[in-house]
Amino acid sequence: MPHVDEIYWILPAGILLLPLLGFVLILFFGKYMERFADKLAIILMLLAFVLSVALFAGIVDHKGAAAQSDPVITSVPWMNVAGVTLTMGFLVDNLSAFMSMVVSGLGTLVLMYSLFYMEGDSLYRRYFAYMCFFCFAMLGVVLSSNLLMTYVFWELVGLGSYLLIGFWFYKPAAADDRHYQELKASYATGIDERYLSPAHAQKKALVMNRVGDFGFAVGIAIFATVALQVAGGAGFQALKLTDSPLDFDKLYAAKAAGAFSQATPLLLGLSGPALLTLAGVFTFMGAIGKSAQFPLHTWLPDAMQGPTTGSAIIHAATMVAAGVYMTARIHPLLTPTALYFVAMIGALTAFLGATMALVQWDIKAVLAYSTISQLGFMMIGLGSGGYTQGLAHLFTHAMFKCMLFLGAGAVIVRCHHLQDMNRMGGLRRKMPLTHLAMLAGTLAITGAPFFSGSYSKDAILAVALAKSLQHGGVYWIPSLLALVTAGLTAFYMWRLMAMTFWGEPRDHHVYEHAHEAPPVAYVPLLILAALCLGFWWSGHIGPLGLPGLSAHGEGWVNTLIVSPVRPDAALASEGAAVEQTAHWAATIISLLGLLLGFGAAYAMYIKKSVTPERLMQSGPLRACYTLFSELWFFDRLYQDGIVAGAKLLNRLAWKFDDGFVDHWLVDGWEKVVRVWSLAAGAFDNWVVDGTVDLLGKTTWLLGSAVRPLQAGKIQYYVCVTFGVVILVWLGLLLAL
Amino acid sequence: MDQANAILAGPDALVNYLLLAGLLFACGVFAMISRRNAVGILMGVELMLNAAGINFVAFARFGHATAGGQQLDGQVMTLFIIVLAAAEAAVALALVLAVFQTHKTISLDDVDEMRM
Repeated sequence: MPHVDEIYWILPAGILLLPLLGFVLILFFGKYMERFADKLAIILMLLAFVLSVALFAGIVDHKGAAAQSDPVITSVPWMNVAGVTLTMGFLVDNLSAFMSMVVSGLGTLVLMYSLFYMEGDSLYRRYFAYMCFFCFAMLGVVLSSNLLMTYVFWELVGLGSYLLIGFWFYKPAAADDRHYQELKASYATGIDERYLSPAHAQKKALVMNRVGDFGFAVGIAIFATVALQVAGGAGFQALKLTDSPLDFDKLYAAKAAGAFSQATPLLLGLSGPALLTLAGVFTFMGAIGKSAQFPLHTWLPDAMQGPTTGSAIIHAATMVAAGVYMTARIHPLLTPTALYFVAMIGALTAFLGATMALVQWDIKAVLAYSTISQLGFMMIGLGSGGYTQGLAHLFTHAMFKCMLFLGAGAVIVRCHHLQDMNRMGGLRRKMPLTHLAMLAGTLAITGAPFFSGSYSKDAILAVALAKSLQHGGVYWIPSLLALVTAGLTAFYMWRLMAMTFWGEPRDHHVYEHAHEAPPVAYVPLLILAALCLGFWWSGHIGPLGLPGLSAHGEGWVNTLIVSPVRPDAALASEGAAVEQTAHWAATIISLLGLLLGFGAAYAMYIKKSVTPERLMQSGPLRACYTLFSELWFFDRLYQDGIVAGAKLLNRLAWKFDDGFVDHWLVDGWEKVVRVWSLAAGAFDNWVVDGTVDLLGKTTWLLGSAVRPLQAGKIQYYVCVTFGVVILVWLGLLLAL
Repeated sequence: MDQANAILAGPDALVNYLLLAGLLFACGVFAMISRRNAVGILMGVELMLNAAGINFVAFARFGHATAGGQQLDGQVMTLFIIVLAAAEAAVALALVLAVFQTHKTISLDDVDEMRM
């Protein structure tokens, strides 16, 4: 039992509640704050960041090297259901402490940048309230101590994304938007413009996440059921599983103690690894939705309908990061099959995302598809057993993707809200600082040596390759797709740079009006650009003398962000040898991919020796182009297949309701009731009332019979009186 | 003087008084039955009361004569009857007056609101 220091609950509580405080204050008292609301949000977020730094420094300093990745849980009882206590609390370990630094730090920078980006917006204050709420929800996911609490904040993250994506809810659909129609490229395809609006995008994000969250809920239920079923069993009593069975450390311990390896069927006739695989896959479905993995990835590009700053935070620190973070939390629980599932989903997502990014004309769309692709990378890393590598890429990606989005936002604002890269070009001379920052981000994402991306991405490629080398067969699919994707990434990112910042201006009107963003915008950009440099992230020297990340090397990420369940030593040393080989291969291949991608982009968009138009003359390439720009027909499939199917079902249900239920059941029942009530009425009239009347009439008749006696004639009474007296007297006489 | 003589013989035999009282009572009953007028009926009632009073006095004297001694019960009862009759007449006349004020008649046949 580790000594529970007070920093394990005071600091997390502060980190969690400060953004919430910002949300509440701005929402309810914003109108009294005038122009102070934005600064309040920034100050509170900065305070949360400071507390996160203190927490991270404190935990690293406090726990020392021995127990560095053991989670410390401080919780309070939340509710008691059928003898099971559920708790809410904070899980503090290196990962959660560092992740809250990332969330609050990026939150602060994005809020600063928003002073520039959101200036003059009609709902200015509300935007800052929403951002605070979004960060609060994400910090809740990060610091949560159990799966159920994660689920609660998970849904709050969903709500936050809903609010931010639909922030400009009043904007019309793209098909009805004259501004959009004037600015879009003539060959912009692949999106159904009728459904491209903030109001639709926010619904799409929420509904598609619901699909994944359904799986998440089922996964939690399976974990809880198994934990409770074995709770009293031999060897499990010490774990006290009825006391908050969903705590992460309890689940890890239960798995380590063999709770899931019971031979007896525990649920649905399943037992052991099969059940654990099922639970893992279902829980991972939540991450598929939140982290925009195939096949639920289509909401993320639409989410760009929100403010670019909102996109930046969604793509970097919150929302999509939540899925990866949650997968890392359940990572020690996943079986090899479930891990393979994660890796395959990640590989498909990475590849599909990269191909779709190749042909986008909208600067934000390129970045959105690139996010999908990079999230796929993280999943490949996690799925190949690379806990550290996947998370390292989450961190480095958070920095450079946030930066790229903010840079793109600056470009868009300075080009009259133009997003079409075909009308940009040459902006390097007008916006040198933005260009510098974007260049750093691009170098990072494409994996250029000495930039952050190269470490984390090469490490993911290495761990995926090592997995393939060890297991062979189907394990080659994720690693090969990942290698191809690395090359594609280089091409689309350098294409973006070439079309936006380099070469000659394509639209002189736009070019002449463009100028550098103000300091409040480029300072965050430059801070993030600096974080794209590699030396922040690794102290490990890898192949070719280049710095790198390795699960077995040194460097702070390697030492501090380690899976709470460590592999046994024999397996690890065998893996290390293979990984060494894989790391060499991965570094060389990804450098080749970078050069090829850069070369192709340079040739096509700067030298123009091979123009896209010429490539399009080739049949297969044209088919590929159509496939990619139509987004692999996923959106159309969902819209025309699932949504249309749902609408058809809805119509059938309506028909059934109107034609059968209303017409036959409800109206028919009405007729039955009507006839019944007539019968009941007749019975009441004739039988019940008849009896009552009979009583009355009888009484009346009896009354009528004796009424003449009461004639009201005094003489008559006297006669009767004396008559009776005389009769009685005569009777007495006779009797005597 | 034996009891039978006291009842039947002599000018002041008991039977004479009783016959007078019976006649008076019959007159009272006849007046009550034949009159419609409330005051007439009241007078019939007075006759019947006085017949009863004569009876009391007659039996008191008869008792005094046969049993000896001074017995005043009969006379006292008669005094009660006279006082009661006076009181009764006062109440009854007040009622009759009230009936006349509301109905403008004292014919009891016309005062029949409580009949169904």
